Amino acid sequence: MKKLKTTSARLQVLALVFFVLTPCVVALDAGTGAWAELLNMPQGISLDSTQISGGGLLAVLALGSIKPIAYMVAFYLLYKLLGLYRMGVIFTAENVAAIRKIGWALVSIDIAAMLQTLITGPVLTFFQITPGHISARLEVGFLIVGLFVVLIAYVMDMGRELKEQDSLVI
Amino acid sequence: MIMAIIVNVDVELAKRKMKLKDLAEAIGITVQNLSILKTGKARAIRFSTLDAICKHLDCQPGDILEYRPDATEE
Repeated sequence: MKKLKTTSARLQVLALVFFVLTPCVVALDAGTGAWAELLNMPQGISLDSTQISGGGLLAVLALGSIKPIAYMVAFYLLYKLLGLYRMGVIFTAENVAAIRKIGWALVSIDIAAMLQTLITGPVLTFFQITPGHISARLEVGFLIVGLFVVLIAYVMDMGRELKEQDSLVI
Repeated sequence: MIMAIIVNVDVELAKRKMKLKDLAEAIGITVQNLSILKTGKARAIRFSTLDAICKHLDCQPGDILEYRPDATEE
């Protein structure tokens, strides 16, 4: 138990660091004009940086923030879960709910990424930042991991029920 | 779930004018756990616990546990 608490405390700091770093990276990309990196643009599509101002700038920032926000939600939920582990809370309903939320947050990262890719083309075309283009990308890495985490949450829930029953065996 | 199994630890303790705390200490389980058993909230009882209770109270398992079918209707 002590090892779990210590490791959780360290990982909690790491999750917090990544939570803070995520918007910093977005700000850095925006500050240095690395718009293609921010928007995960496919190679070969040129961006007209002169058009990125006013409404165009807001649109680019909004589009570029979709995936980082999903990451931040996942890091925040991970931070909370590790906090529960740090306090020694393992097989509880609160813990199971936290794991399930992380699973769905991971699934939402890929959904957000696919959504971002899909709407980036039409939006940038509308603001004349890029010549007319539309692109789609299939991202399933986080989706598979996320669904697996949701499954683990169900297993943890069974563990919680067993622990509850065990506490009533004298 | 209401069960028809009644735990008579309190009756046996009263007969011997013994406190729950003393029995808990003697058989090495917590007062809280023994209280769960006494109040009928327990889902199961280990043979080792039953053995320890019977040994210490010098009684039979039947003195501790009783089957009362009408208890489910109460």
